[in-house]
Amino acid sequence: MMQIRPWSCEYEIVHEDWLFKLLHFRSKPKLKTPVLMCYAFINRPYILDLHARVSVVRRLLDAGLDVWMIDWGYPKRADRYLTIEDYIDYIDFCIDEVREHCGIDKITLHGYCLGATLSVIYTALNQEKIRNLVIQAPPVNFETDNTLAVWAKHIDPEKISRALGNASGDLLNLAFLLVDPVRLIVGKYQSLLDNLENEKFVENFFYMDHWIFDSPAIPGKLYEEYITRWYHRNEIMRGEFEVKGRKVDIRKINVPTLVIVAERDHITPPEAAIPFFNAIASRDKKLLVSEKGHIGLTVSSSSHRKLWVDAVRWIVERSG
Amino acid sequence: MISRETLAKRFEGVPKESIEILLRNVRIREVLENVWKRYRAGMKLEYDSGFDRVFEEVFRLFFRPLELAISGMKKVRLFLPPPDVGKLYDIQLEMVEGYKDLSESLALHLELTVDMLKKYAVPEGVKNLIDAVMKSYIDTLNELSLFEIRDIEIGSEALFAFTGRTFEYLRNFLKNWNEFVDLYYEFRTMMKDTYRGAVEEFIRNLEFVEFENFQEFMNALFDVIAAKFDELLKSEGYLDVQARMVGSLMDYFYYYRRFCEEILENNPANPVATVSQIDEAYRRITDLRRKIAELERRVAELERRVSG
Repeated sequence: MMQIRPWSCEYEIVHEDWLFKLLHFRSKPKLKTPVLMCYAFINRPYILDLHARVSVVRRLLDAGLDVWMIDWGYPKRADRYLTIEDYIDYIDFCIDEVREHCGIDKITLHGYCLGATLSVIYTALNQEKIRNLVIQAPPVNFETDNTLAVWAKHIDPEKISRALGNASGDLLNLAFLLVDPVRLIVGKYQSLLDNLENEKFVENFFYMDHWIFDSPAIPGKLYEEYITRWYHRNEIMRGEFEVKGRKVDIRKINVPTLVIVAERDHITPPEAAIPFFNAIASRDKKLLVSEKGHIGLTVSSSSHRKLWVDAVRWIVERSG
Repeated sequence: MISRETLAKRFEGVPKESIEILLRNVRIREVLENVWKRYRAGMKLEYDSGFDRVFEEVFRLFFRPLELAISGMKKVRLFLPPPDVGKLYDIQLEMVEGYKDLSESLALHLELTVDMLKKYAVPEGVKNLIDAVMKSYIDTLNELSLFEIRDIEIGSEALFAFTGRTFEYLRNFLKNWNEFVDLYYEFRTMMKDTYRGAVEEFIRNLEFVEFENFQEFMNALFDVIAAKFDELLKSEGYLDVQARMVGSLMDYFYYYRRFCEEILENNPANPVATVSQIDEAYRRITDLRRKIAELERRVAELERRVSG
């Protein structure tokens, strides 16, 4: 029987708020500025520490960084009224926790996918707490023509949350598969059938599948906001997004910023990030482009040989 | 080719979705290997039931939940009273009232007969006994008929006990279910037509290309199908059908739930809270949590200021 055990690095849960958790990875950091990882509220954050061979967390720890991570948990029906503001508030809470624990003023905020969108919003509003912003596969500009974005513009999220309470993980999984049914249902699995004797291939394949199908629901209200305000109205790029009456102006972001995009990303294509990269005021900014896809960016061996070496170096140089 | 059983056993600990898709791919490969053999033997290929099978294996995962929603509703319908039930109650009520009239006539007839008997044929000492038997008989008759008739009357009036919204929700969920079923078949037909068109195009082009091995053959087939689906999934027609299908399915779920809840919430003997009532509690708890978090922030801020 095959055993799939994600999370290769040890961590402790520093704070738990029914649904959300703040994790702290065990290490002896050499660098002063800690990194807080903020993954998307879709899927699970252990993609950044899927297994030892392709763990971004381990890379950061090995580089002497103090690594923290937000886990958005598995929302239940009781969480259906959570909004984007609640998520931003929890990021703020975690950043204050990390600052206090480490005795420093500013941290590195590392966002991935929709966690990058949250990180961008947070940074625009709280630059005094952010030393570096690192975002990978970040959807900020939602005016793109990838299938998922086109579908999102055509659906009515209120009907879904009204009927189901939350946008369920199963529903999201089916949508992500239906975006490219032939390649994801046939191509991928036919290549597994061709590689059944290759233990490493099989192990990597099922670690990925375990993560893909381990999908939490998205709280209903959050889902409505995410689809309506980001996909339908593209509020962040248009400078119309507000949190508690404060306008999010990305043009004012001037902290050192690293943007990592993937050329073959069908969820967050480079066009979703490059207008953001061009719009921010930061003078110290860098764009790293990978030839991989949305997830390959994080878990492919080739990304770890080149991309993550460059990315970690960039972070380390700004963490002393 | 490794057997499905061996695969299922070897990968017991992996996600069930992975196993299902993997086993479906084994079937896909079996079908296509037969197609490849025919191609290699120089036979002319045509779109046939084997390709239909491949289509089903690829798309079952998507169709299944939608078809479950259709078949689930068919079962729900069995529990709903058919429209003629009200009429049935009315007919039954008329019949019972007729029976009541008949019973009363019979009682009157008996009364008259007994009166005549008492007057002309029965000795004085037995008259009181006959009166008592008669009275008991008529009382029993009245009680029985009263109980039966009331029961039927309530049956014929039960629909009036429901609120106006109950019928609104009933109409809405039936309307949305009907729309969903039509749109689902339109959605399925679009997928099938696209798939079939792609396979036929691949077969037509076979005379212009040559494949070294099965792998190349299969990859080329799926490249053509994938490209056709890339076009379909972003086409206006598809987007419209998908959006309306998902919308009507969600509205059907919502209105069906509200229909059931409306009946339960208006029944004082209902022992369970409805999902909507619990949702309202969740909404209030979430609001309170935000207020508590805000207060905690302010307290922490004050403490920081005080400690300098």
